[in-house]
Amino acid sequence: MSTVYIKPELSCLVSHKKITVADVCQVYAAEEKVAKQVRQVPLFQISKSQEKNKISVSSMYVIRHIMDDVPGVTVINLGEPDFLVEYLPPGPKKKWMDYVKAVLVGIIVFFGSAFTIMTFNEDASLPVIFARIYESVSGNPEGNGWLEVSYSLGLPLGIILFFNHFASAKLSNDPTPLQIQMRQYEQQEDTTIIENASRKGERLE
Amino acid sequence: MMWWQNAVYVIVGLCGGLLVAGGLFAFLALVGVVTRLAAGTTTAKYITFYEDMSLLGCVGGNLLFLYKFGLPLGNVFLGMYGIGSGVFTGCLAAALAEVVNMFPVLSERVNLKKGMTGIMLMFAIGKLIGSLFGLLR
Repeated sequence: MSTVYIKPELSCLVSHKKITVADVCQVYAAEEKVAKQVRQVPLFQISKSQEKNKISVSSMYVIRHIMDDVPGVTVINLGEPDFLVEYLPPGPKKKWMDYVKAVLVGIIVFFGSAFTIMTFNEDASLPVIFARIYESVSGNPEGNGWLEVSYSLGLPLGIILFFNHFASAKLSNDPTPLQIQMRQYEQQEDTTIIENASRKGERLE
Repeated sequence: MMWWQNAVYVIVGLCGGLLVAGGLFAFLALVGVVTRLAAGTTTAKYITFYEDMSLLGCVGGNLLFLYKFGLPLGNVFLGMYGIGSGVFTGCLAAALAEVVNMFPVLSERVNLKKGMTGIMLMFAIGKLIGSLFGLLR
């Protein structure tokens, strides 16, 4: 009688179609022989129609298969109760497609930000505000341009402070706000897929 | 012109720009436009590149607004500006509606189970008509 610990991650990538326990979770057991045996337990085969989808799997499914194939073990799950398996075909990926997409999104973000700051400046009547400050300070609404220059310098400073980096020059090693958001979004996406699959009865139980 | 006047300008301008940029980008990050675009194109690993581009865009747009310098780049540039800012603003509007849970709340109120894609489509068509109506009077 031996105990086996498994730890599935919320989503995992595979590049072959015959899925074994080792593909979807880390396995630990006191005896290496048992752990090895457990890692080789076959789980399922990815069919042609499933190639493009993320497959939702319950950890109960994994535990059942381990117990069937390796009799007499106790399985303890330390990871996710449900997780996703995503199939990525082996071989070179279309790298240039990624670049094209990145450049397109880059253009959208560039002009979008330009547009957003211009609409904000217009909305906030920036020139009027500037003239007001010039008048208060020097008595003359016709400014000497110092406000405009320092405002234009303050903007990138604020963004660099907020994003925590520019190009590869990082202020600190923390992840940037968008990286955190990206991670959160992916996690929410994964849990939604899992819940949808269980509602439709498509999860491997 | 006294030196302290310029000092006031520099302090007000710098701090104003800093806070405006911080606020604006905190808002954009909260609404999640850029992350949504990155997720939609599965290019999450270029997220720092997108951040750089949005910084450059913000700086460029601001300079263009304040100094109104000539930009004789022709219709290609205009088209790029139009499409880029259009897609971005569209994403912003949709993401904003999503962040404030407009669609879930609405569908819950009228007990709607199906046709969410139809509603999204109508949302987009409505935006298109409204935009054309406003711009082409």
